[in-house]
Amino acid sequence: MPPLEAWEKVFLDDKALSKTHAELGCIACHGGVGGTTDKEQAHQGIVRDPDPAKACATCHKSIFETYKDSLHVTLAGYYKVLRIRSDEEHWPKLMTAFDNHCDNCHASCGQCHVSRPDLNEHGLLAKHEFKKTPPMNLTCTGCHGTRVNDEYKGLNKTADGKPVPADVHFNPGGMPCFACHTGDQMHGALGVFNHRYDGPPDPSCTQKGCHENVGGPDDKVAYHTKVHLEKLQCQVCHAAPYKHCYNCHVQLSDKGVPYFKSDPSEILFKIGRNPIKSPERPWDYVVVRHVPIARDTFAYYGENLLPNFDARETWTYATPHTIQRRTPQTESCNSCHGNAALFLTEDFVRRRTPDEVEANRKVIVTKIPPKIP
Amino acid sequence: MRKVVWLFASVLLGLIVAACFARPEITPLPPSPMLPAVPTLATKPVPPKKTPSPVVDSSTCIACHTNEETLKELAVEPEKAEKLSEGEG
Repeated sequence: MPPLEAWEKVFLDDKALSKTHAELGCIACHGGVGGTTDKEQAHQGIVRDPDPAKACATCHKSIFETYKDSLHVTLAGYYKVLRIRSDEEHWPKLMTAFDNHCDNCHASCGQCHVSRPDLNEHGLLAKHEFKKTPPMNLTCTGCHGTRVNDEYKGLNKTADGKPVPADVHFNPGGMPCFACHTGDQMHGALGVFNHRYDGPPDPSCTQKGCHENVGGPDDKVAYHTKVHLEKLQCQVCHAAPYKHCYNCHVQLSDKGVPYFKSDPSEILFKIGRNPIKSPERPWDYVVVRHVPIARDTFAYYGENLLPNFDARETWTYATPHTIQRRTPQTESCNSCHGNAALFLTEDFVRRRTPDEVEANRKVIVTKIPPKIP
Repeated sequence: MRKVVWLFASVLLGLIVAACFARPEITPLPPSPMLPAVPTLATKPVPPKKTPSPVVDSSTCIACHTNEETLKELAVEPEKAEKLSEGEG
């Protein structure tokens, strides 16, 4: 994403000023003092990113009502996994770390519709023109860059230097993020969830208007057998290798600046057992991704802040953005059957993340599907 | 003669008193061709005009923030935090 100069970040133009929002004037949302040309005086009490409850909800009440409980605002997913791994005794110290390192990962209305997100050093998207549909490259992938952006656009290479192709929905599909991740989803209008994998899959591969004939009478794909469709998440066959991150540690510098260090990432494909099996995600096998957590990720803030680290897998249920019609898995039956290298085995976990075998009992594949003669 | 004067004065007084108590006959004016008195179904009712909420004058804000030269002169990048992080976030 091209950086913006300081002046560009706050430069307005006539186009933006001719729109409805401009009728409110600047001060109604941003505060500050009018009628002066003195910068310091004019900026007294100014709010760069207005509070949605005050600035947006007045007119966009119905959107605000659900937005305020959406995952981009509540960060409930983070809290959920930390609650599982920690306990009451260690929670306050953990929250200090959270406030320093994780709490800025949320989005206000303005950080999608008017400016770049804080995580990307903000700056107006289009000279203060309000964008009903945010530009994905400045907003969505501005934050979801490391994994989603690189996977979706085909920017990754495997360990042997082989490029991983872009997700077919992006190239040749040309689908922006919001083609699947709708405004309703972003605004929390589909319900209140505690994690992005709570509730039914949304988007779902087989939803109306997408691949809704999979498994139906018109489906000509030989591998789409009843057993495969019942036991395998779509990505098990149709995802290419994707990114795994390891060993993130957070701390503060001598000047109190928060920072992190993580080990080099890795591009791999791994099938594990489904840790969140439910009627909505009934599959036995799913693809799993190593998330950057480690037992001592928050050690700077206190000893053993994740005392229940083993209570949740670190190779987690995943939905990588590397979808292909044909993948190494779809080449033949025995690309998967009998091929232990594709599966998250105990042996692999012991080698790659030796401290995390117990945490991943639920997802480790103990029996590789037998080779088909 | 005096009698006639009194008679004339009494009749005149009577006429004045009667005129004071009489109800005037009002002829309704025809409706104005510009503003029909009664809206018909075909006419869209005009909603009451909202009293505009007071908008604080933002002209000085806009004058500065639309002036590239002024902004280049005045806009200052806040001091960036140290870039100490290593690895992918």
